[in-house]
Amino acid sequence: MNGSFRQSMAWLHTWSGLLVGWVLLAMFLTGTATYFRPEITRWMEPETGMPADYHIAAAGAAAYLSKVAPDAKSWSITLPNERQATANVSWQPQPKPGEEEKPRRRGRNRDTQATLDAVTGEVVKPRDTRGGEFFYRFHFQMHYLPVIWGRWFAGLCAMFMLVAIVSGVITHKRIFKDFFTFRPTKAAQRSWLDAHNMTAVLALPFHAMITYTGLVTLMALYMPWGVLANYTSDDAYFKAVFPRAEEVERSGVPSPLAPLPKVLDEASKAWGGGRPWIINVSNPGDASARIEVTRHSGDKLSYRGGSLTFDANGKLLSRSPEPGPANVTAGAMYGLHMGRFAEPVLRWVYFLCSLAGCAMVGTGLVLWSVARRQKLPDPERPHFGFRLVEKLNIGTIAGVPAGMAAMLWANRLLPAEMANRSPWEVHSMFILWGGMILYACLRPSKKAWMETLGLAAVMVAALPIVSAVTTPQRNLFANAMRGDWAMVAFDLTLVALGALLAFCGWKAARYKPAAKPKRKARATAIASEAA
Amino acid sequence: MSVAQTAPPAAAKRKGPKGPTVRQRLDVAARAVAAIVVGYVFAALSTAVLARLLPGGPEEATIAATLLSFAVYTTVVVWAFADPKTWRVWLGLAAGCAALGAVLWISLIVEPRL
Amino acid sequence: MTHLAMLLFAYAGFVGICASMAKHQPELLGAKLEPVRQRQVRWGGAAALAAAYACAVLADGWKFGSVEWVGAISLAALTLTLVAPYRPRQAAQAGAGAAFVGAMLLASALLLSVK
Repeated sequence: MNGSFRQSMAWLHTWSGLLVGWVLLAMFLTGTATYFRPEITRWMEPETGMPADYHIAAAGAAAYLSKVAPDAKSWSITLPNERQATANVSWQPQPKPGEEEKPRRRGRNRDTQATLDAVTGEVVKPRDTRGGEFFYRFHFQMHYLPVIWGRWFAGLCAMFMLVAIVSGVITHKRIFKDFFTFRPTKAAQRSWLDAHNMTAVLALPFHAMITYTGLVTLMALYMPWGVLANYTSDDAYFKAVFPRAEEVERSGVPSPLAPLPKVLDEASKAWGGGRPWIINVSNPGDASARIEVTRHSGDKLSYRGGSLTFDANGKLLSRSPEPGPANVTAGAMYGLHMGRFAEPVLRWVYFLCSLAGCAMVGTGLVLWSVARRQKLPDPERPHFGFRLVEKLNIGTIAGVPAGMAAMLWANRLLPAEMANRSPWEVHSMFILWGGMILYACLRPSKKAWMETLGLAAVMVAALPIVSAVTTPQRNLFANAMRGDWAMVAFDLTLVALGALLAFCGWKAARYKPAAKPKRKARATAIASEAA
Repeated sequence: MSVAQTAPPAAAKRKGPKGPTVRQRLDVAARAVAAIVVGYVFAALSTAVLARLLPGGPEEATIAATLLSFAVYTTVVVWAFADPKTWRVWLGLAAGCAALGAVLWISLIVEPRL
Repeated sequence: MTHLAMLLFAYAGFVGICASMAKHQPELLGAKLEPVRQRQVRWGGAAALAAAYACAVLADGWKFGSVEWVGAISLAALTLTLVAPYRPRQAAQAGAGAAFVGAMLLASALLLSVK
C-alpha cells in the first residue's frame, strides 16, 4: 500500500491471518487429529476388535456378501489396513425390472451396507458414532453448512492462509539470522513474536506444503475452469483422467467367484508388493463377473494407486493406464496432504509438524492482541474490536481442543440406544466451543485464559479414565495385555496433550504484563528494530 | 518483521484514537475486491488459457494448469496489496483479464471443446 | 534404528549450525569461536544433516525418505530452539552426544544389512 513493500506485506499478513484465524485454528486442530483418523475411529468404536491381515478380512467379507447378497449387481469391499479393525462392505441390488436404475447415493444406506470384524468376518454393530471421520470432514467442509458452502469456505480460509504464509515470509526479513531465536524471558510481545516466528519458520516447508496441497485436494471444485475450457462436461473429463472398465452384461451362467485372497495375492504381485484397498465385484456369482482391485493409496507418494481388473476365475484382464506426469504430480500433492503413506515414524513427524502449525496460528492470534494492547489509548477499557479478538482467541484456542475432547466424552457417556446419538456427539463439540467463547466474554481475560485452558487440559487428560470406567475392555492395562499398542499410545497421547494444555494454562497464570510506560518504550524499540 | 505496524502505513502516521480515515478504508476495500474477486477471475481465466495451451494433451494440460492456479491467485493477491497505486491494480487486472479472455475466445474458435 | 539415527543426526546438525552463529555462541558454548573453528562447526552441522538424509533414504527410499527428512529436521530445529533458552549448554552437549549415538546406530544398521 502507500508505504514500503515490506510494510504493506506486514499489513496483509496481519489481516489475512487474523480474519479467518479462528477457523484456521479449528481446521488445523481437526486436521492434525485426522492423521490418526483410524485410531480415533477405533477408540470411538470400542465394540470393534483388533486389526487383522487383509486376506482374512477379504475372505470374511466375501463369505458374508455371498450369504446376504448372492445375486447383487455389485459388491464393494473396503479392506482394513493394519490400523483398522473393520472391513466395510456394501452392495447394489439388481434393479427390479421396469425400475429405473438409481444413481448410487453417497452416504450410508443402512440396508445395503455392513461393518464386519476384520478377524471373524462377523457383523459388528458399533455404537452410533462418526468416529475420526467427523474431524476429517469438518477439516475441509465445516459443519451445520451445506457441504458445498462449507468446502468453499474452507477453501477461502486456505487461500487466506496461503496469502498469510507468502506475505509473512516477505515480511520476516531476518529468517536466517533469527532462525534459532526464542527469548521466552523477554517482554511479552518479543517472546510471542519469537514463538510465532519459530513455529512458522522452522516448520515452513510443512505449512506451505499442507496449505497448497490442501487447496489441490479440492481443486476440481475451486478451479473448474481448466476442465471447462477443454471439455464440454465434467463427465468427459473424469472419463479421460480416471478411465473405468466397461460394464459387462450378466451372462446368466452361474459360476463361483475365485477366492478373493488368491486374487489379492495376484494383484499384489502385479504391483510389485503393493497392498490392495478396495475390491469391487460386478455380477458376483455369474460367469461374467469382474473383480476390480484398487491399490491402497498409502503405497506410493502419489495418491493415484491404480486398479487391476480380474475375471470370475481370477485371471488378470487389464490394468488402469499409467497416469501422465501432471496427473502424477497432482496425485503426489494429494498424497502429501493426506499422509496416508506415512508409516509410524513419519506419521508422528506429520502430527508434530501439524501441531507446530496449530501453535503458529494460535501464537499469531495472541500476538495480534499483545501487540495491539500497547497501542490502546486506555488498556483498561479497550475498544470493541480488541475485546472481540481477545475473547475469540480464548474461546477458540482453549475451546476447540476442549470441544474435540467433549466429543470423545460424549462418545463414552451418551446412552448407546439414544436416538440421534452420533449427531449429539458432534453437537457436544460445538456446544463446548461456543460455551467457552461465551465464558471468555463473561470473565476477565487473564482468569478466562487460565480457567478455559485448565478445563481443556482436564477434559483431554481425563479421557483415558472416562474410557476405562465406561468401557472396561478399553482401559490402559486391558489394551496393553491384548497387545493393542495403538490404543495404549492413544491414551498416553491424550495425557501428553492434556499436559501441554495445562502448561499453556500455567503460563497464562504466570503472565504479567509489564508496567505500561516501560512497555511502550520497548514496543517502539522493537518496531523500529524490526521495521 | 513488524507486527506492531499493523495499520496501513499511511494511516499509521496520522493514526490517533480515531483510526483510519474514510479514504483509507475505501482504499483497502477497493484492493480487497480487486484481490479476492477480480483476482479469482484472473486466476480462473489464466487456468482456462493454460489448460488449452500447455503441451501434453488436454487431460495433462488441464491438471497442470489447475495445479498452478492457486500460485497465480496468490501472486495476484499479494500484488494487489503491494502496489502503491490502487488504480494500477485495477487497470492491470482488467487488462490482464481482457487479454486472457481474448486468447481463450480465439482458442475456443480455432479448436472447440471435447 | 535408522529412523532414530535420522532424528539424532537432524538434531546434531542444527546444534552445529546454531553453534556456528556468533549470536548463539556465548549461551551455547560459553565463548566465541575462532573463525576457522566456526567454519568447521558449521560444516560439521551440515554433514550431520546430510547424514540424517542418508538415514531417511536408507530407511524409506528416496521419495518417502525426503518427505521424512524435511519433517524431521523441522522438528529437530524446533526442539533445539525450544530447549536452548532454558538449558543452552546441555542442548549443545546433547548435540554432540546425538551425533555420536547416531553414528553408532547408523554403523550397526549398515553392518546388519550387509549380513
